[in-house]
Amino acid sequence: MKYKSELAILKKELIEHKGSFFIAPAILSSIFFVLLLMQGLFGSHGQLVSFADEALIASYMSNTIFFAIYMGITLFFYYADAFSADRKNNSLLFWKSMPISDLKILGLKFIVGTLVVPIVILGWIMIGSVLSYLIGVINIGSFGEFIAPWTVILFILKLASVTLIMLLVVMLWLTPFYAWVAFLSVFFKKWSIALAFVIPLVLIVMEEIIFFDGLDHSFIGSFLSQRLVEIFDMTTLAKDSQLHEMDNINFDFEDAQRTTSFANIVIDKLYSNLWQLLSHVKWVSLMGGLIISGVFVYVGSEYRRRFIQG
Amino acid sequence: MEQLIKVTNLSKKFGKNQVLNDISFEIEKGKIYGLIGHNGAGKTTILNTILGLMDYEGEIQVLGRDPYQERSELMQDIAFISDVASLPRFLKVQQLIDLVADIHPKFSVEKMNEYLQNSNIKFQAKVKSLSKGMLALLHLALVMSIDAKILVLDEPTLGLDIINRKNFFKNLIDDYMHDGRTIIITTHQVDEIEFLLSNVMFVRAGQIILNSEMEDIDNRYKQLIVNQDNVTQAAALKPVYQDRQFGQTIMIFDGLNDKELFGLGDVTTPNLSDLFVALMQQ
Repeated sequence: MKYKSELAILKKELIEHKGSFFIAPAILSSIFFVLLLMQGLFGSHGQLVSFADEALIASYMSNTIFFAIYMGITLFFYYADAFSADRKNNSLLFWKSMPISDLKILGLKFIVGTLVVPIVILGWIMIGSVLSYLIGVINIGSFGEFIAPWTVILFILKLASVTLIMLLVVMLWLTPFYAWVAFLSVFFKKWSIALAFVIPLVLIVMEEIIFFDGLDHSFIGSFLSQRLVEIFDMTTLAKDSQLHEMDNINFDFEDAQRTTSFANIVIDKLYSNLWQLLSHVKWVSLMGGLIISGVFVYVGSEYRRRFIQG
Repeated sequence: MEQLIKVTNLSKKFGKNQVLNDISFEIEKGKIYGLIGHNGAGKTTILNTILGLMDYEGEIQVLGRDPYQERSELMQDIAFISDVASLPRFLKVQQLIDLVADIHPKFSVEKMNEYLQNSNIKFQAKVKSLSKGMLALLHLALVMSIDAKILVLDEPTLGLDIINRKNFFKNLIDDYMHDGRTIIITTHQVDEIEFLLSNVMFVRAGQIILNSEMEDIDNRYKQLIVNQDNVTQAAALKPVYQDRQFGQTIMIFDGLNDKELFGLGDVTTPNLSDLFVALMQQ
């Protein structure tokens, strides 16, 4: 196989961090499962949703929000650890005895966080969604008609494909921030967590001291905050009429049609809005971020190659 | 004899501390080299420069490559153990074998399985659950399963008890040392590796003070347990080392033959540790 060694490193990385990417999500999903079950058995039966497809969409959306936040936080700590983990667990010399460069090792660690972990997290979103949906169906017997299992699977796969694309785009957007903390960890190990915030803060304070013109006018501060959250071009996004069609959807269905109408409309809209949303992503800025991330990874790997022997 | 490593005018500084000072040597194919010196003498630094783990002044060619610039390519033909505790502890033994098999094109799973089947290391055991002795044998089995041209062992038995040390070297000789392979080894247990060395290098304060084949050492150095009446006469022959042990005067001479020492006492060949102590105190 052509990329055997690369895949082996990716696999090793997932094994090394299985606690964050497999065990903790499994425990969290189990806790939610039990809580939802208990809520059904002992809690009040006030219903947020009335139909099975609404339960499915609600389950999926809530799991997506929860695991996306989980992923964002976990990846920060993953990157703060991954680039210095070989030193910390004393295996650096073992890796240096293998015919694989430091650049490749750190590059693959970075790819794990950027591209592989979102896929793993998507798996947990899907598992969590199915579990919450099943509990919802069991608890609330007053749903109209049940949705056939294969239709549920199809819906979840459709939703997952949209989520995957969005997760990957968001991860690519955030790479310079994650690369920054990973880069710092090569030099400062666990202190990278604090320094990832302290260094920009110091720069902002220095900027304020040198070019003082009011605390709300920090160029560095506003650039970083905008670069962190403004993935879309807000001026073109605000003018995009197609994206606002969701507000005008008529959800008043005839009962006979009700089984999957809501889910169908939501999924169709998500698909069409996805491509619209992607057209508003600041791709040039995203590419710039990828280049900066590459520089961070390269400089980190050169430092590891030249100065870290064990 | 084919030359695998050529080191010319190698120097290395850490800050103001000159660790290696203009050393030159060659490593030939099919031999076992012992690199022996005090703590801090520069042995590990020599190995690290050969392995491409640090930069240096001077010139090093390992299998025709510059190790500092081409470490990852070079590691296809060099296997090394710098620290027996450096195996990734979060993996199981089987996962470690699979990983190395996927990464290293010259690793043989069949050989590895063969080595482990003759040990009490379980494939499903976690690396972190293994004892120091087991870790050393596992690491040795891993590197012996790589069809490398050069094997570098830096204090591979450090911290192991005598049984595990003997097992380690026995496995090394029985299972690895054939087909023209070359080993460079450093250790503090000089006596335990003496029998397997074909060449020895003594390192003192960043310089190689002895670089010789073991056969030549036997011919070159003589140890004399001096008769009490002949001490003055023997001392006149300028021994490189003189000491009194258990009431006897012991001298080591460089370059004298048995005839020149005849009648002064009992002449023997010094063992490596005695010679090491002698030359380190010069």
